[in-house]
Amino acid sequence: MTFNELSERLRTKFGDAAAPSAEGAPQAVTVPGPAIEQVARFCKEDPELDLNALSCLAGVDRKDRIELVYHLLSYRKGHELVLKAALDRAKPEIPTVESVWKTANWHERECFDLLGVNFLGHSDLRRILLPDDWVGYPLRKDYVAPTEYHGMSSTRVNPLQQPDAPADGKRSELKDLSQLKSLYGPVAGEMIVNMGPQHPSTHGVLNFLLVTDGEVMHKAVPHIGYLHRGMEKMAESISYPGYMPFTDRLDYLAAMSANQGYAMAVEKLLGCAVPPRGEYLRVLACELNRIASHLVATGSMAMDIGAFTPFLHWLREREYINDIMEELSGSRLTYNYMRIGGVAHDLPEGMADKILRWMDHFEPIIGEFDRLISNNEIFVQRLANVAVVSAEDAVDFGLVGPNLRASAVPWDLRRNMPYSAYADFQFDIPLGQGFRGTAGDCYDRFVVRVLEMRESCRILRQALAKMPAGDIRTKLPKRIKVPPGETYARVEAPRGEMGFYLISDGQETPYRLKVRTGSFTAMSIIEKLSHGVMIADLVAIIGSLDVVAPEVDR
Amino acid sequence: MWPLAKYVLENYLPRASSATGQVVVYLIFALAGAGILLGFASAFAGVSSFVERRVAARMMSRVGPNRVGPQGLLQFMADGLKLVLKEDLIPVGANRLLFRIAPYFVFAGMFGTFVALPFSARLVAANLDVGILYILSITALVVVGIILGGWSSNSKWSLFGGLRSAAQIISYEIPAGLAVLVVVLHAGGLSTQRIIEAQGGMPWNWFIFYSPFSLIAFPVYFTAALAEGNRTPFDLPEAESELVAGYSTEYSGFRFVVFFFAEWANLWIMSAIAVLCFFGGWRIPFVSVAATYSTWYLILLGLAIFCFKTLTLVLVVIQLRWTLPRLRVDQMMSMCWKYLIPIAFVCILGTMTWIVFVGQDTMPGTAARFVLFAAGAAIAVRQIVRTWFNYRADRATYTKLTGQPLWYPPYRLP
Amino acid sequence: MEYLLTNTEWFLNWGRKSSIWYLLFASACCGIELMQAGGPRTDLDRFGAVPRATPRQADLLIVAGTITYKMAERVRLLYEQMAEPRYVIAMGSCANCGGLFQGSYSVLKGVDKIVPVDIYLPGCPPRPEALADAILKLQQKMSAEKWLRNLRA
Repeated sequence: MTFNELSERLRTKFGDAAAPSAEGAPQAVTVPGPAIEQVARFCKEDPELDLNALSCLAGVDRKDRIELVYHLLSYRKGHELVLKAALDRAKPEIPTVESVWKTANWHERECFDLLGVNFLGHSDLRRILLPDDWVGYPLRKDYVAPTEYHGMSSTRVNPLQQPDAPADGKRSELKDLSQLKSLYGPVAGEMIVNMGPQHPSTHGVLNFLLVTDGEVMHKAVPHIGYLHRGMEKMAESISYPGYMPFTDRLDYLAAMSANQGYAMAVEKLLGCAVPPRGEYLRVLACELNRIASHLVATGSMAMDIGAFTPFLHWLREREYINDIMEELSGSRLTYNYMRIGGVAHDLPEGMADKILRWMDHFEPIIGEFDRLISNNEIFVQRLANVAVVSAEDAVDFGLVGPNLRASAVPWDLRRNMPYSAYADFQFDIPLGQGFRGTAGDCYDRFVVRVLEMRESCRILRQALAKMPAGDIRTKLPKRIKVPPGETYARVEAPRGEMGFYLISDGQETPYRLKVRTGSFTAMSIIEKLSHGVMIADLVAIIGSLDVVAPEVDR
Repeated sequence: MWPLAKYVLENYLPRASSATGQVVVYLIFALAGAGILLGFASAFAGVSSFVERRVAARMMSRVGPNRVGPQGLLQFMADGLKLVLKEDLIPVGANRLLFRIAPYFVFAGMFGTFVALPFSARLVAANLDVGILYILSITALVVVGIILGGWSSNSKWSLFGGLRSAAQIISYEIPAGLAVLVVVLHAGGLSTQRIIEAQGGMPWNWFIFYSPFSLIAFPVYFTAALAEGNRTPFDLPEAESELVAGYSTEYSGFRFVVFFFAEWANLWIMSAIAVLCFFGGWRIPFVSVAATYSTWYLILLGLAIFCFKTLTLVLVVIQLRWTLPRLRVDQMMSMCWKYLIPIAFVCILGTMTWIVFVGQDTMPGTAARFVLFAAGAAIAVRQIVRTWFNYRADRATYTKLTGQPLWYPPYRLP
Repeated sequence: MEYLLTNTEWFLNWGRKSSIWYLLFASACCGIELMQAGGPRTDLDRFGAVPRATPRQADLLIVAGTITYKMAERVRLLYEQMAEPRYVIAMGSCANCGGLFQGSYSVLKGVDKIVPVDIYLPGCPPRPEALADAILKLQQKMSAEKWLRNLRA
């Protein structure tokens, strides 16, 4: 259904309360704040609209009001809708939609944390990304960053000119560390263990508070925000082309997808097209990156379960991909290969052959990996039937990407909402079907990733075979002024849908950039999955959901 | 050590034959024996930690330590030296006495088994009549050390690791003991030398091939021994991804060296017990027991054979660690109680019926031994042939992809 | 006496520098390069550097990745839990000085505000070979330490 049909249906139900946007304005239905919950419920439950997923909940400070933007998506029907609600800036309040989509829980906490919006009826409204004693709401336009926090100053002095450190090595005074413990006091009868931000897993700085009864957990509460770098606020002060390296660091394992999403958002606003060769090179980079990312995901899952060797074999294969990407873009990890309007460099001589030869070498190694670990009985017993996520839960909690497909929901942006050059390629979408257990368990998530690697190889071969000649990049001026508007661009990153909601007001820097990442919502489901599982299973769950810290915290 | 001490006392020091003199001489010899064993155990622990790192690295396509001495051989000395030089930490709130003595319980439990291991015909520090029983029971002392270490560290993760490990070790001692009981039934005695003497030098005279039940008892023992040593697939107490380092999380410096040492020395112990029970110990093919006891070069040959067999098993254990994932706690416990113990009981009953009805030197018994040996040899040969073919295929692929031959001169390890 | 002390110190420093056990602390992108440095092509295990999971047994803290204010206190806690002698390598631009995120409100501008850093390793992210070079430089630094002679003096 198109936007007009969707908004017409809403208008018949709610009358003037659901007002579609004017011609020429970005397509959205404006809803008054207090009515948001009924409208949202209708959107989800109406069989015609069937908007069963909340893709993104963004808050925007429009200087005279605070605007909340809800991006809704229907997995069954394939259409999307944007709802907007305007809130009073002095006292922003709105009912929560947590009862409609469970994923709204964490999205609303983030909105409260960064913008100060009060969600009425929310079950647990407290800060999520910033420390609990932070003062102020950073995403507001009149926010002034503090000059120091707990004794650590926010300015940088030349270390060569700094006076010598005192003898005991302390450079500054930190707050008394014992006060940290008071935040997590023990409860009678249970043991509270902190699986701290530093732990020997590869997923980065994630913190879980486990409430356990011996070995079996009652719940595991994730605490995030240890890598919150304020990417969204920084976007407001950095020019459009200059923000590209930052998108790399949004998810360093899937840097190209983030690049592509951001570039697509800017290009949509600019109205410029990417030449075909540029699109094919983008697909090439994205799929290579997808393989590299799944290598780390499956390898670190194996390592968490205890088999160290497959991870090292995968790191060896990643080195080859790093070599290829280094020759292509100049860097091994955060490539910054794409530009607005295309890609940065063309394929060098002989690179296509090199990639094909590498794929000839790599595909049998996936088979070797299967023989080594995927079919290993101990490995299967550790993962099968653990943390089964049903299809409704997966959609409701906002899982995307391989996590969603492992719960047997057939949704892949490359197939259902094709972007870039993906419509030209033939590839399958692996779905979880209970390969050794139930559909949606950890083993399915693992196997879906291994199968996706094979599919990426297929796409790569087709892309290399059909690569058109021509320009790689449309000519854009060095300083870009993007015409006013807003857009939401989605890409299928290795960890799921990465959405870039970009608002421009005609300047050289974005007005607001909101990034919706797959790992953020994947973290939110862990608390629900953790009832009654063991601590060893929790590690398997985190590994199977493939969570990386920068995506969670941005 | 006692026969040697007595021999020296009677022949060379007759004037010291008073009661105190005897005690003093015995004490000197006992300490000397313990010192030799300690030196051997430490050397083995160090070298095997180095070998494990190299083997693991080659399995992972890496190289492993090769800078620190020639080919990295001094790596374990550098490790030990560094650990001794570290600060002596005791966590705040830890029970100081228990924290300090916990490693020594583990050490005592491990090291106490060395005295009853028969390295060769006359080379056993204490030829106990209840050798095997003593070995199996003294290893239970490590449980005390682990629980003390885990609990006294004042850290929840250490406590988790310590209790998991204690549960694991206590549970898996039962199948280990039962599997060894199969061998004891065949040998007719608990003394380790007697078990070895009851076997023969040739492979089909080893206890493992005596009956199908002892063929099954060996994997049962091996699995139980892996679990007792906290080796993967049973290394849940030290699971790095979860528990950070289990019961030894809060230990640094010299106390950590003791834990480190105990873990690697245990490799030797578990393999040595398997070798002496199932693989013939120091028996040399075509040579009788009496001959081995009387000639010194045959004693040394027996020592070499014993060490060779044990080191082969140690290599197998190392390779298993880096291949298999680890079991979860409840899977591990159910494996012990629901699978290994019933199988071990069946093996014992089967062995008893086998001994009564088939016997060892009768026609069917000998025939069964040859058949089982053929089966075992076939499995081993198949593994070796497969490995050889895989290696050749990989070498061909490497040459095809890179154009360079994959060849290391023997004097230059990678 | 001086001769004896110098040579003993050389030997003890050799022991310390040949077996640097580092703490697995991977915050952001540099963490992946840290893992690759322990991986097949650049193998830190050749130098005897093994990753340990617990700070008590580690003598090197490689701060790899961006440190935010929320994380800073944990980093300080980790550093204090390490047993002496202990060293810190600030890996990557973010740990050196805040790196790419100078304009951010929640990023600590350099980890040397909370722990004393021995080696600053620039790069975004630094190549694994650069990390190996940093460890070699740390080995040089360790072997030049005169702690035994200072004890006597």
